[in-house]
Amino acid sequence: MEADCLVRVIVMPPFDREFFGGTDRFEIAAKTLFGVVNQLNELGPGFADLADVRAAFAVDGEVQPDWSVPLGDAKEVVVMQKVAGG
Amino acid sequence: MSRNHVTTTVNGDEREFLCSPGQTLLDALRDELGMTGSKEGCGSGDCGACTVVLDGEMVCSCLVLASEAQGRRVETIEGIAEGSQLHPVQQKFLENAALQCGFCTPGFIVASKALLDKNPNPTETEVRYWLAGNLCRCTGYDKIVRAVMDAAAELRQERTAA
Amino acid sequence: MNAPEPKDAFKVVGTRPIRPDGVEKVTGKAIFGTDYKAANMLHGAIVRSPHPHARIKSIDTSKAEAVPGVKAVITGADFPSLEDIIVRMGESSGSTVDISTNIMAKDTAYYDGHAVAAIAAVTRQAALEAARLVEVDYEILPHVIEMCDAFAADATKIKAAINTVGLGEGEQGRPNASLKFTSAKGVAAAAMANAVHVVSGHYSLKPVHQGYIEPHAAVAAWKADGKLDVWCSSQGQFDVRGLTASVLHLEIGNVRVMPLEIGGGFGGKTTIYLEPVAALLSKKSGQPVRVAMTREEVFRATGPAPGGEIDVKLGADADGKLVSAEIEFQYSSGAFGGGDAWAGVMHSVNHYAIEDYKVTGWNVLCNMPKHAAYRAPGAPQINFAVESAMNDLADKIGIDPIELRLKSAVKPGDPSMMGSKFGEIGLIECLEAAKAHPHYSAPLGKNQARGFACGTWMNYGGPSTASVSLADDGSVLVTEGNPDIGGSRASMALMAAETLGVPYEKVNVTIADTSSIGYSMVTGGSRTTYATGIAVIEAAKAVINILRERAAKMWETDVANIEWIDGSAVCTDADNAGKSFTLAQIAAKAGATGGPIAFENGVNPLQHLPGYGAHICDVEVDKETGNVSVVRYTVVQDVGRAIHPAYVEGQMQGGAVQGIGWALNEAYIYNKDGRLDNAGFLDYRIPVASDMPMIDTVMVEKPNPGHPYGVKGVGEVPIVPPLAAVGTAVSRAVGKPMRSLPISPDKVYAALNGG
Repeated sequence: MEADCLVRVIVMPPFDREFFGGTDRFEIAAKTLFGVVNQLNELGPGFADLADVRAAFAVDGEVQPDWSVPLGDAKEVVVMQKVAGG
Repeated sequence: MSRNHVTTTVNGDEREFLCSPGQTLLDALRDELGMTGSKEGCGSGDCGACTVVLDGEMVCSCLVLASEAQGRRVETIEGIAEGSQLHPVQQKFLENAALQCGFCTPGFIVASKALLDKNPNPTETEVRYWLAGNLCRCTGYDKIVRAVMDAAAELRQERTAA
Repeated sequence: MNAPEPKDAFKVVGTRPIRPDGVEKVTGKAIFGTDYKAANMLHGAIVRSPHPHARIKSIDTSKAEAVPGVKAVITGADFPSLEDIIVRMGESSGSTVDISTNIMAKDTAYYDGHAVAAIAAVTRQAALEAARLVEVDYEILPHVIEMCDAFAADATKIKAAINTVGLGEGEQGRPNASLKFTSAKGVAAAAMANAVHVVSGHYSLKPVHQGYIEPHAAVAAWKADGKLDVWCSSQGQFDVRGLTASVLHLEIGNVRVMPLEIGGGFGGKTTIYLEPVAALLSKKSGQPVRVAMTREEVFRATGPAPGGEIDVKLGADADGKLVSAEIEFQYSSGAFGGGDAWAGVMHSVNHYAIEDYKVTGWNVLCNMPKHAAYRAPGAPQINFAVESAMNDLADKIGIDPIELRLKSAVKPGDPSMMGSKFGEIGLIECLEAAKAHPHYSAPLGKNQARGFACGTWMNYGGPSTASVSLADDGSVLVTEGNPDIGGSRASMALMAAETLGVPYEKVNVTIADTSSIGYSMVTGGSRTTYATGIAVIEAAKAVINILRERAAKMWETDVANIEWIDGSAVCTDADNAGKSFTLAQIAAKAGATGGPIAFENGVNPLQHLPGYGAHICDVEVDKETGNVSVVRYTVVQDVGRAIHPAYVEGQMQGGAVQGIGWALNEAYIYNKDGRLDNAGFLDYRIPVASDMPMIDTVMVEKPNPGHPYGVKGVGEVPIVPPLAAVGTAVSRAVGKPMRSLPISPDKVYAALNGG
């Protein structure tokens, strides 16, 4: 099993105020985005339920749709709102 | 409610139907004769999706009473192609990608053929004004106008060759 | 993912074949939402509130029920309770409580046209007569429609449950605001104070309708076993299924939605209006029921897109590089929460690299229908304000508008407002192409002027499913779940043919019902050719691997010795080197090599990239009447790679003309009683053929590395820049800033005559 990766997590609006009392930076150790989401859910209860519907994740600037991909030596995860369209 | 008995010619075939006095020709075509190619986009003569030709004149069939078709000739989108042979207007709509959703297309094709029957060599402006009663929300009209101009050119060539 | 293949290597991608569904559509045979009939079907009619805001004290349906031929009458009381609505994750994440309330009023009518009851009868005439006899006792309540009324600090609050979310420490909400959302970077105010050039302005827009020509219609059959069949046109049968199941408290698997051809949607058919109504009428009557809207009902009860009030301030350094943006705006959302403010913020200055900005958007309730998505939802409004201000800034500094934009345009690797880095985006290429286009430097005639604007839409990917199967004569069958709204069958067939190495004509494309293939998200968000395209390509690649395995069996060799070249399996082992089997030859032997050849594939790609457009517009103003004619128009767009270029051009042209209509003609007009005054195509005037010139297109192709063939979404971007391009052209022609849309002849006339 791979070791946890320590990443800086940046939560973009509106999630920062909606779930985390306005805090938008966290340090989280996790193997994958599943771990990131689980730990964010402990900090902001209810986040995990909405994450797969409303959130998208950028790992070191690249959008990563597969939460099971190992974070490896990633530095930063940005939590963004998904875009809807017409 | 009393119903009127109407005998009319649709795309060359004699057809009969019963209609209520207030029923439109569009509703009679769609509901009594099962010809759903003519579309209702507005029901008020503003969109042209229900365009048919009645005794040689282009009309919005939502503004014509079904009873008015008695003894007259109606031409609809279903009669434009000859069997599986598409009319040049239809073929040029396909080649020019002049339809996106395709809902307004039957009205545009009936109207465009009516134009070319009267005016084999229309200018772009003439095409645009003739089709100004047909609404298309998808294409911005560019490819529709090109298709009609292309069809006109092909029909002129056919006539010259004949 | 693989890098896109070089363009010159393509055999069919990039060609312009006739679409597979074309003949059916030019001969009137295609069955649209309004054409479908079920056996023994009843006809529906809906009773709608004539009041913009009223409490429903009671509804008496006894006279309606007594009309001969009436089989069922329903009101909001027949709907499952809102408290029990299942909020489902994954599928259809919209607020189903709001959607249910919008479909049929429960205790309060929130807008002119809000449904309050529905009838099913043996004829449409009987249903309409019964609808007139439903007696509703209303207590009329105060209404708010215009933004100045709705957003006021002392406004009448139209929904007690609404509170402003997203407020920061110490910030005040507003009675009708459901969201205040800010995206900020650096310190915008300080940067603005240091700016050398500053421009500002207030911009206004009215709500506009998507304007699809096909009115909504749905047929529902509630079967004896409790399962529900629905036939309707929509932008996504799977989301119709999910939303309908939620509103009616049904298991998703018990609802089957059959997609019919769709007569335009533009975002407005991503939600539901009629399906649960038809379903409940069918349940009560025991017969299939068809409910269809008139055009008046479409205007009064569906759509529209938000109107907005927008304040913009832009600051630049001496050279013209943007150094600060301060923007605050309000968008209407109808009488429900949600709305486009978030997207408005995120598309405000996302096409410019600015170190300091603060952009704030509000969603504001008003007594109008629940607003619906409209092509690049939320982006055109804010772009109108920002790009108009950019043109003011160019004038102020005295430099060319495209040169000004090139100083700040985002490029690959720059950070986006979303927090991610931009990939292979093509804004700069679009700006350069627009600048080089002959239109940009062509001389103008008398009373003519030119406007320029650029804009962006983020695009999307997301879940899609497709299958590829082979018949034993080598026919290829592609099955997918995305309604074809503008030629997508042709694009799917081209991508499948390219991947398999077979002729386009060999590929048949079917759009399946919800019980016949896995989930696909709506046709919308400019996602279909990108995401469903990937599902098709990957399914085709899986089929190639099956074909290689079967060929290996036929040659009694290892699959590693089989290559797939131009639609044939080519053997590389020593015994049969150079021999080949065509796809059809292998398909014919499927029974002897392991059974039918097919592969179904679900994907969830998110390596979509934003699209960019640059538009040039020339207008001519009639100084006697104030009428504005668009005399020349050019659309430049980064399309990634055009799979079927004619349908890509069609998206660019159609989007531009919708934007031109928004700029010049279109607006919802409510009277003082809160009733919609222009609920028809005569008074709500969308562009007609004689209003428009040819729309020139330039496709810039900067491929998306996240798609095997380089696709970027193209459908939504082209409606974004026209508002400012047209508005700026008219402003220059009349010599005064025109900052309130639509720029109708009366406004132009007033501006020309000192108004």
